Amino acid sequence: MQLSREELFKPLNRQRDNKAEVATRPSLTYWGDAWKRLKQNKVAMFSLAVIVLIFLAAIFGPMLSPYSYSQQIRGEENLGPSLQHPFGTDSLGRDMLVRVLYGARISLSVGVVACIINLTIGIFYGGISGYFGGRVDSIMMRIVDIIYSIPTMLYVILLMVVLKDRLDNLLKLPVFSGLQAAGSGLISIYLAIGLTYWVSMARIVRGQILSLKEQEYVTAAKTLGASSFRILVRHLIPNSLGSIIVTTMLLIPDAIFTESFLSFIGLGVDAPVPSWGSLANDALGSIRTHFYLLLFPSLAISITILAFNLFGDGLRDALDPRMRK
Amino acid sequence: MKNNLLEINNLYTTFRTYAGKVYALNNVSFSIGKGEAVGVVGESGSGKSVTMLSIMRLLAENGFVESGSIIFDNKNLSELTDKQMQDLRGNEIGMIFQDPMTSLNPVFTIGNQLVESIVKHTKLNRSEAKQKAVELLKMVGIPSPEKRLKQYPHEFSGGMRQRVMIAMALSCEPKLLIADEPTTALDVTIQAQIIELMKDLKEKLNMSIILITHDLGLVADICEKVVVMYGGTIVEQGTTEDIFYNPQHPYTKGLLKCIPRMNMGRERLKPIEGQPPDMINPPKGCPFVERCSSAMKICELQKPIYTEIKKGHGAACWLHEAGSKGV
Amino acid sequence: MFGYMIKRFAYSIFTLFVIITITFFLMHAIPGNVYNSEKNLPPAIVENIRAKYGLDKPLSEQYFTMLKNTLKLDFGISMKNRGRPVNDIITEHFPHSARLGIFSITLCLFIGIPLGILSALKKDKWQDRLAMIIATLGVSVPGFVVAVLTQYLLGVKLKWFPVIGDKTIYHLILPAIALSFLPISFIARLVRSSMVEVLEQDYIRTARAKGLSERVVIYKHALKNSIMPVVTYLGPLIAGVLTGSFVIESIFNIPGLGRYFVTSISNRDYTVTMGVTIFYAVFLVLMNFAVDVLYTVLDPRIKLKN
Repeated sequence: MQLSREELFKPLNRQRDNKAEVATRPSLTYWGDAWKRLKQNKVAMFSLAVIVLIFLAAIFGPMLSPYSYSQQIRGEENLGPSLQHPFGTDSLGRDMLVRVLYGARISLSVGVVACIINLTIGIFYGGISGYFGGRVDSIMMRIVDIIYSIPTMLYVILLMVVLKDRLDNLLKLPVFSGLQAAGSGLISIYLAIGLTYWVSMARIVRGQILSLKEQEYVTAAKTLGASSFRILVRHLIPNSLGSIIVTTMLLIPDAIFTESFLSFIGLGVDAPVPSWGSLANDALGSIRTHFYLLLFPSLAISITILAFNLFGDGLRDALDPRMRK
Repeated sequence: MKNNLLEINNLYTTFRTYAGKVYALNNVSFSIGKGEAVGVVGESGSGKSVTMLSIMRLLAENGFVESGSIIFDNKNLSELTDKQMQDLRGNEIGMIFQDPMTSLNPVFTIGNQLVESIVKHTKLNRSEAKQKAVELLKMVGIPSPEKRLKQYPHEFSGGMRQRVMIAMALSCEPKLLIADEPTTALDVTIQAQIIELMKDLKEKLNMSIILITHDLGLVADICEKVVVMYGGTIVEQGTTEDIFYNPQHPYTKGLLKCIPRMNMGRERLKPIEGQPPDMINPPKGCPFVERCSSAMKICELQKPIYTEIKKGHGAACWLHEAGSKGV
Repeated sequence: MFGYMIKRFAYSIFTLFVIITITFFLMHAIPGNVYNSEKNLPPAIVENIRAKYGLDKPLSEQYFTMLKNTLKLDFGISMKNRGRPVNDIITEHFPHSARLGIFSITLCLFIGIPLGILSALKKDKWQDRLAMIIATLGVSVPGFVVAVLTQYLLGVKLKWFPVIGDKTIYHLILPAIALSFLPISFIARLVRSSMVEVLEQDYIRTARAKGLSERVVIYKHALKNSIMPVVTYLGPLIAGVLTGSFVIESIFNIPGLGRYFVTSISNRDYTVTMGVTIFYAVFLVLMNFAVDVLYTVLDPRIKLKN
């Protein structure tokens, strides 16, 4: 349409609308937003799928297998991978597939249990320290500093040595008969890792609470008359939970790592219960002839830790609102 | 003009981002004579800094000068190799930045940072360069320079750091000093000191200055010429007097109404309402149309053409056209 | 700065004291007598041995004796290897571990840092992607898996490297790769992310505006700032290489202290376990102190905290 000169130079009569000041993207809740970002991260979603698969395999795999992890099949010793035994059999004629799957139970349970212990101690310790602040905080943090500078693995090992002997005696008591199945080795792994790795969690929780107490938006929210509950729900939880979840997520592979390390040096679960670390260690002697015995547990450890690491990275990117583009 | 030190013609700069192409500069042209001080004013995102970084070839990796020419001291800067450009930066063109707290490298001493560019651009050896650095610090008014040379940036106050930045920018006696909001991050009293220092040094060294700021008072204080930018284009330029006493563009007028004055009485300051334009989808017409109180139909449809009303003073606004045609 | 160092040092000493105390009481929490792996010893002989090692004395007295001995760097006598002082064991085996450790840490720094820089400079290009894929794999594969796989593939199958022992530098290559694979990856990721951050800093723009060459901008101005996190990681790195050596030394049959430590655990040779633990703890705490000092020297801003 061709406009005449006069029309072109006619003043625009318009109401000033404030549309430019409206946020350009629809607002989502914190979790909705995080989930949306996580979904867009293909690597993280794939890792999540792998983790779910590993969990399912760990839970149902041993049930569906025709063999049990300790069952020794005469005449089927040292078989390479085949249809009947996809991962082969070991020198005692035990099916490696079911042993690796059972190992997944051990490793994942170590990851989960150690995390729960860490989380509990860490949140309580860090929470108290951050909440009270001042003297209490500085004393509690000095203690954490000292624990932090103690070489962790060394103390996990030492704790293992001590706990295992103690637990062996304790488990003989009838009260603990229920725990006997787990074995003193596994329980002491739970405890040793749980009791030593909480320090970083405590530091993070404390740092979060301390800084959140001082945050201007919390002050702002208070000034605007928000109730404490609302501040907690709307500001403190989303902002500190994110980093707590991410730390926890990245702690799981750490714990699995440590478990396999301990089992590898012979400090882990009690034979014949298999764990990925002990399976790898058992395979050492026959590595030249039966390489697959080492390959499958090693792959299992690496894939699991990789999946947790990648998922944790993705989660961190998704949960950190400051990364928002 | 033969005695122009810097001439920028029809400069277009874009940034490639995930959200799309950002048209940061659209047809920017202006020039600076030898020994002249030019103020570039405009709000955040108007393209002031991008213009300077385009000149220095210091745009971020995703920034590109699409077209236009930058002639400095009769050299076409776009034809220089990276190496030649390096020899120019810090040597013939010095630059100081907005935030002196973050513009100095925290892990090297002031002396180290001063000496390295002197050694790079002059034939002086390290000890001579050190001597030169002491003189420079003295020149920008830093007491006990020998001692200060051995200190790290965190041992200096904000104002002192900006003095160091100035000393660094002037270390090779550049023909042009680009000062990107040199006082914004400083206290008011320190601001005045820094400005005095710059005025002083301009006289002493006879260099040209481009002063980027959104403080019009500052411009009035030291600049002979003013360039007003909005939405990646120059909306008006002229001598300081032209701009202050005979502003042509509604945006310039708006800016001037935002300055408090002693003789204002009970008059209110008038803010310019609205937001700067979206540079990913720039408006088809005048970038200021959304916020302009005297906008016309044509302003939405066509970009206004920059026209001079007298030599050296012009604006890009359809009102001007309309007025001259008596509509 | 001097005051800060003194404070750090006092702190390290206190930490050591705590570590020694914890170790002592943990070891004494082990039930039964320490000879329970040797069955059917006549009670009289057990008593004799207990007296010989001072185990019949009250716990508090044992504790102070132990503290005093530790001060003299005397960690007692091996219970398994009768009459052999733990000190002898440490002086014999630790050099093997130290050699491997130093070699590994050198590898970590000389591969990890350049890899991280390369990634940061080629951010989002294929070189970066590739390096980060390797690095992500690297932090996911346990050292013993790397050790056994490289030993089998590069040593046994391809015969490129010797498979066991630590006679020459050549022997150390495979164990050192196994020990440094994870830290290399970690350092590469660390350097990459801090380098990317540093390159966006104002002072880098200043350096470029001064007309410095890209090489000076990156290797002088950016590098010193981006390797600060690596310096803080040195402490955990040393600890990691040390504990990693427990399995690596066993796999490659290197007569180091790590392997001896693991053996002492399975042999229930408690004095050796305790002595080596304390030795390692002292070593690591002192290393951490050294790293602190190094950090103070490298980062001038630390002095302010004093």
